[in-house]
Amino acid sequence: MLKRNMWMVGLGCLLLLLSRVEAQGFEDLVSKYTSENGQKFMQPLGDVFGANLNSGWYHGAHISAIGLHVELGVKGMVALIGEKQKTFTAETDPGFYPPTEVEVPTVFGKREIVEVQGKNQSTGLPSGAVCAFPGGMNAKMIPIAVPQVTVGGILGTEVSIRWLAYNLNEDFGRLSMTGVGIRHSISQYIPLCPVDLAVGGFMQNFKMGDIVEAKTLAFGAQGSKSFSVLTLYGGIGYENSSLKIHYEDDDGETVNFDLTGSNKVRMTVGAALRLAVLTLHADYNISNQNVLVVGIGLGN
Amino acid sequence: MKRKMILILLSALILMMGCTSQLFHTVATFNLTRVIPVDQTGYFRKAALIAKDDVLAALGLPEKSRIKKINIETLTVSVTKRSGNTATALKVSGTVYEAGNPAAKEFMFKDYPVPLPTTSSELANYGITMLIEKGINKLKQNIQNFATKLGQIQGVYYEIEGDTNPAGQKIALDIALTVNASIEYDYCADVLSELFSGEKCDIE
Repeated sequence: MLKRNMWMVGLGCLLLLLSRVEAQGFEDLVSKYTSENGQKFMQPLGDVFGANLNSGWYHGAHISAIGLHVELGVKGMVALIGEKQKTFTAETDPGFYPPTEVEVPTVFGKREIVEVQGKNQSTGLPSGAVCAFPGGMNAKMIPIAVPQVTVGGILGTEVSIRWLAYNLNEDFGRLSMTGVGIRHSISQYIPLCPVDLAVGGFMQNFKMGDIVEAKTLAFGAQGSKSFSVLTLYGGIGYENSSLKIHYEDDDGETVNFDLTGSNKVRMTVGAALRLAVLTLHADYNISNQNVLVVGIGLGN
Repeated sequence: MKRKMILILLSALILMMGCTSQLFHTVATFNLTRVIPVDQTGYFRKAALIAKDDVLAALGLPEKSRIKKINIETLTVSVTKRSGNTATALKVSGTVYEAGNPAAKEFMFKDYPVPLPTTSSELANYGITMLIEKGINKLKQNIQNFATKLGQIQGVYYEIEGDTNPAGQKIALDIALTVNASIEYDYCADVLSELFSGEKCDIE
């Protein structure tokens, strides 16, 4: 029971990027934003979520043509939050005078509230009105962890599966994630190829009750070179992701965010260490949203 | 079994980072709308009450939170025309005073021009851009006192007065005055301190 709780709590802390397994927390965060500003406030969450999920699928390009290979592992992805993801340009609400554009925190930005003072249109004197924008979470990085099973060695092809399912609570409902990736060795067709080469495609669905739905798609080419127990690998790929958040508060007001991840093309560089049945790997992914991946796997 | 062990190990490592209760600063909006029916010719003056309980009901803050301040963001006038109306425009002023003390009224806006809709199905909606600081501050202070349960005052009136433009026309309208307010408050949430920088929660 304790182990199960540890797994639940750890996963909950990671997967619920908002860090609170309570609907009230979500309301607190977004209650100010039901207009266009809200989309911009939440955009970094869409970027981070998509970039994290699209990471960690592989740790090399060698795929055997024969001989079954099975690996069970966990992939930890950490999106590093840069300064440019911490602010956006917001507009004051309609009816506020003067209409003003102002730099304010995103969901990952600083915690300080930003205020804009209103003026009387005819006199130019302060009107007493104030348009206030909420502070963010002041995030340094956002991690996510997923279990992954990879089965390969069938005609130079391997299939990876990610799967999670858990009932969170009454507010958020059921969390579920399914992902599948398929890769095929290209170097098997190139005689005396000095490096291993592969191509692959990966897709995932993530749902948290009726509130959050995310989809990702990625494909790309990978290369690697092994030196004894060490493998250096890299890749280039194209990806997209979407994150939809739909929430209805206690007063019946709905909050909708439809976010598209900013990552399109990514480059990956990494290294893997294979020690008998244990594989440790780490890679760095360079794109609009950079991601650090660490993984551990057990398999033949 | 191996898979479970890995997951548990990873979770344990994550938990070692430690969840701490940190302080967050945020803003929530709420609206207070009163519809004032006007059915007369020429000058009118009508008042509507915002009761302390209305403000408290509109807030709905989390348990572990601390109100910092109330803002008035905008004041909006919406006008719906009823049959018999011949007025084409209004010039209205808005004042605010505490319940039981009408002598202490302050203007929130003065002689604000409000063009009226041409048909009864249309809704004219105007953000008032000529707000007067003294009146807005009075309204804000009263709402803040209600929210923080300070003082003995149980409500605040806002009053709309005005005439048609040109004067003396028949008015048959529903005038809705909406106060769009926001509340700045602190709340506490448990987060992983390695991932989020912030002050520790100091709300009891």
